[in-house]
This record gives sequence, C-alpha cells and structure tokens, in this order.
Amino acid sequence: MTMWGLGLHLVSAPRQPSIAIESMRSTPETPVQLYIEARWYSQSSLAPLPATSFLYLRNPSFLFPPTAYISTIVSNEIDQTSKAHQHVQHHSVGLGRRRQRDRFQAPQAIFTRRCKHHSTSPSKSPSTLTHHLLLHQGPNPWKVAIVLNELNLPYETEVKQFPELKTPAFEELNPNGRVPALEDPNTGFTLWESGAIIEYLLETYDAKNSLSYAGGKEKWQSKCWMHFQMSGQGPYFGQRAWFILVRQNVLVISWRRP
Amino acid sequence: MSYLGGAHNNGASPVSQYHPEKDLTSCLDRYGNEIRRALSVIDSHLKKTGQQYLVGDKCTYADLMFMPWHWLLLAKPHIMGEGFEQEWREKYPEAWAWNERVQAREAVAKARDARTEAVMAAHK
Repeated sequence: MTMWGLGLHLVSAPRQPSIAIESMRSTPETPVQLYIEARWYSQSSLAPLPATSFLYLRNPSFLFPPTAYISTIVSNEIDQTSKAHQHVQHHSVGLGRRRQRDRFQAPQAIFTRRCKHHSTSPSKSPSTLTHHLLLHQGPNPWKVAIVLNELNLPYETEVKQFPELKTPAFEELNPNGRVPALEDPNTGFTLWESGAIIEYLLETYDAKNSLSYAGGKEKWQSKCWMHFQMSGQGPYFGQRAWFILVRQNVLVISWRRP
Repeated sequence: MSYLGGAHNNGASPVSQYHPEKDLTSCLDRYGNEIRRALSVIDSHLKKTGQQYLVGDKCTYADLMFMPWHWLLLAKPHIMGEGFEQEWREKYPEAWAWNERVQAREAVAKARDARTEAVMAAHK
C-alpha cells in the first residue's frame, strides 16, 4: 500500500452546462451526417446478404474461431432525401448465427438523473480513493494514476494479481474482472474502465477544468481523441505487446502466478 | 468498437490456443503497422494544426491517456524493438515532441516511477 498525493481540489461551484449544447433543440434542423464504411460488406467471399437488415460478416479478426461472425444490424429506415438517418444501430459478436441470435439482447438504455455529488462539493476531508491495478498487466490503470496525480487527489493503490480479478469479491467492484477499478468513499461509487473513471474524476474533482474543456467543440474533440486512444492506440499496442510476449514465451504464466 | 473489447483484451484472450503454429510474423506485422499508423495520425494532426497538444494549446486528459502505452515502446518490453525510438523521432517528429512534452509532466513521471517501483518490488 502506498499513499500518494497531498491535497484535494474542492469543487467550489456547480459546473455551468455548455450553453451551445443546452440551448439546442432535441431535433436538429439540419440532418447530421454519419459516415460508415462499407468495404467489408461487399466482399464477394461472404455469404449472400439476406434481404433483411442483418448483415453477417466474416469476422475480420483472427482472434475468434473461424466460425465466428460479427453481425451488424443496419437500420432500414434510410431517408431517401438524406443519408442522415443511416446509422449502425448495434453490433455484437456471436459464435455463429443461431447462437448469435440466442445470445442477442437488445441494448438497454439506462437513464439516470444527474448525480447530486456532481453538483455539490465533496466533504472537506475526503476519504482516500482506492485505485486497483494489476501488476505487469496493461498500462491502462496508470492512465488513471496520472489523472489522480494531476488533480492532486489522495489515493491508495491496491495491486492485484491476475487470479484475484476473476473472483466474486473483485467482480463486485468490476463485473468484467479487470483493472483499473476505482472506489471513491466520498461518493460511495465504484467504477471501472479507465475512460469512465477518468471522466468521473474530471467531472467530480476538476471544477476548474484544468485538464479538459467545459464546452464547445474542444470538449468533444477531446472525447474523440480519448476514444481513439481506447479503441485504437490501446488495442494496437496491447496486441503487439501480447504477441511479443507470446513469442518470448513469457505469456501469462508468469503474470498469473499468485 | 465494443465487439473488439473482449477480443483485444490481453489478459483472457485465448490467443495461443488459436496460434499453436508459433509463427506470429503476420500478427506482429499487423499490429506493428497499426502502431506506426496511430503515431502517424497524431503526427499529421499536430503538424496540420500547429498545436502543442491534441486539442488546443492545453494539455488535456486525452493527451495524458496516450502516455502509459508509449512506455511499452520506450522501455521494457520494447514492443517495437529497441531501435524504434530512433524511427519514431525521424518519421513522426511532431508526435515525438508531443510525447516528450507530455511525458515530462510531473504527474506522468510520478506514475511512471511508481510503475517501475511496483514491477521491481514484484521481482524481488
């Protein structure tokens, strides 16, 4: 256990919502344009496309058995006068059509009210946050550590070994059984996924927006880069690292030893 | 990209099960090229905008989030080989300068040192 950090930025006032966004009507006058890629859809080696809106695509990733498919549901409701409504509704991975269908669950929209903790100051003597990370495993937990450092928040680091993650106890913290996970006794929240944790820390403890933009296009451009990091850079680097370690025969054996 | 979330997750992926052949050249090439591409995207963006950071001239959480993965390039296990730092400097100079700028921040250095310390402690 190590303690880092000395003080805490107190949230002094409720954050002002972005005027540009808040004042916008729920249905924009001008259709938005969404670009999707159709390259994979037209490969001749694929099974004939069904007439329905289900497109079964041969999995481009080699990480699944060859029978695995990615099913992409594309909305049929395309406005002929505008392509604005063309959008991918949902995509998921399954193991063949039948199992895919059996396993398919409609995405659930979960709406929550704005949490009161986001608009009020945390207590003046905040409890220490607990930040779970896994030794040797990916760099993702350290992204959270950097943001905790930047915000000068007091936190404790709890290092886990891999077998500890896939246990009911840890899955209470993160149902995915991975790190990072963060416990914040100031709000009673337990969070997982580095991007979500970082967004939470910024909204809760960075009222001055020292690491982000309060609104405007910069706020959203920052999110673009954040998501590029998480869905692009991270996986590329992670997979390269993985195969390097496979080749070096260090694999998971040494990582997973309790 | 949620469908890749599980697949790209290093810890539990049964990769070796599907790669008993041990010749991982195609895998390594594919992701090596993607790493170069990711760096070139950032390099071009910074060159085009003339900015110091990804968004505007302020270091944001987005810049910070890229940093820990760069450690794998610049220190053990040197996932692109030990000579890659030179390639990065030469081919993606704007991205290199940006990396140096952000890595130099106290908060980043502190996390980097903490990680090194944790790894060393585990090896004792």
